[in-house]
Amino acid sequence: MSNLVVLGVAGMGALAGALGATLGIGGGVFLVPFLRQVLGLPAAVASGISLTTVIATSSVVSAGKSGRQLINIRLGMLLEIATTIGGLTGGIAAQVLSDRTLDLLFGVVTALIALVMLGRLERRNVILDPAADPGWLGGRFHEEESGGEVVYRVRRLPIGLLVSWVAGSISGLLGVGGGILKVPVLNAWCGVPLRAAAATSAFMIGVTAVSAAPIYYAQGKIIPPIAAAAVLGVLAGSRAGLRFGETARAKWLKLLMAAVLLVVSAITLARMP
Amino acid sequence: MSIEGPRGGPGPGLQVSASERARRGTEGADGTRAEGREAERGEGGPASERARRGAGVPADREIDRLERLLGRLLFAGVVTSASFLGAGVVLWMLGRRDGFSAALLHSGLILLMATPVARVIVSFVEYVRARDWFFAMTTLGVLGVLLATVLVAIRTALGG
Repeated sequence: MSNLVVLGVAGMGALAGALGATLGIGGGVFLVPFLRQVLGLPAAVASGISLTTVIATSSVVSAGKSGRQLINIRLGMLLEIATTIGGLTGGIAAQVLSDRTLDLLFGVVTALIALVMLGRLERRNVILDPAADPGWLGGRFHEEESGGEVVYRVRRLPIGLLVSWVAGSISGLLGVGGGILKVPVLNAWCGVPLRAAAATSAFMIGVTAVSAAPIYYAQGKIIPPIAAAAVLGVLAGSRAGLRFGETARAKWLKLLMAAVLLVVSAITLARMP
Repeated sequence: MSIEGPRGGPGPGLQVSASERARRGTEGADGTRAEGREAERGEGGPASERARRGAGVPADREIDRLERLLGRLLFAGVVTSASFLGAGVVLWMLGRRDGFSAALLHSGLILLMATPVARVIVSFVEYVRARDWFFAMTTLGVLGVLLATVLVAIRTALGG
């Protein structure tokens, strides 16, 4: 393995980290296709390396967003029960499934999420009355772009738990953060504003990834120098992405997310072994 | 969840104790207002208030505190593991592909994976301190799954 590959992974990691932090979905969904399609690594190796960057992204994005009440810690903790159970089983399954199966799953999942995002572009499930009652799981935060206080109540918690379990399984299987599933569902069905859903998801995906990553690590699927380069690149990129994410408008965030995911899906399906 | 409280007041002819009123008052109301009332009464600390509420909403200030604490922990973990990974990968690229650079890389990866686990442990301790048993159990459940992951990982490593 050459130094050029390591530098390339670091560079791609930076780009993936910037996009992932901006969209609140982690860099994994962009890094996995790079490792898999460009470098030709086995699917489980790409997933394992990606999971380490998901952990790094989660930690750095949550640290950057802390103290601004965007992260709904209680909701996150509750949903993490479901994501970690999914992550554990997904991580075990990924060690035995074929590359073809994993590629097919990855292509289908990314396309599905892109379509969900496109279908719900105009939805904004927020209560703009600052005196409203957020309930035991809801939250409130100051939105910089509108200058107002956003208050929301969490609805349909069972759907949130179910999608978290699915997201965790997919995270453990495919090495992505799982935010690509949670963010749109928490936003569209559970009433969590996109910004808060993204921050809470970013907070959760680190723990979700850790419920699968040690299994990959024990199997030797996480190649240390490649993982190190990816992590360092993603860390640098997510710092930049975090800044962009605060100023970008929610609708453009969704559009950008959907477009990128559709491209990623098409490439993965077209190149399936 | 009951939203009945000091706003509605006790029913006609019904005597409600001060602590009972305080308990009901904080339920369903937002943290800021609950804190305000607490300050007015000047009795009982936030901890005893939360003890009575059980799975209620902690005051905004408490959430802030936990959020900042976790933020600092995550940042420290990431900086430390990134330093190990950075040193390891630079040595590796400079051609020192020996046990030393490998040890740095593996330490960095293990630290990276340990950081979110530490975050869950800190959350658990904080929820226990706040006597918020519902979320203490929630975090304990997450820790249980993570323990299962580590056990599976060790078993697969030993089993080849």
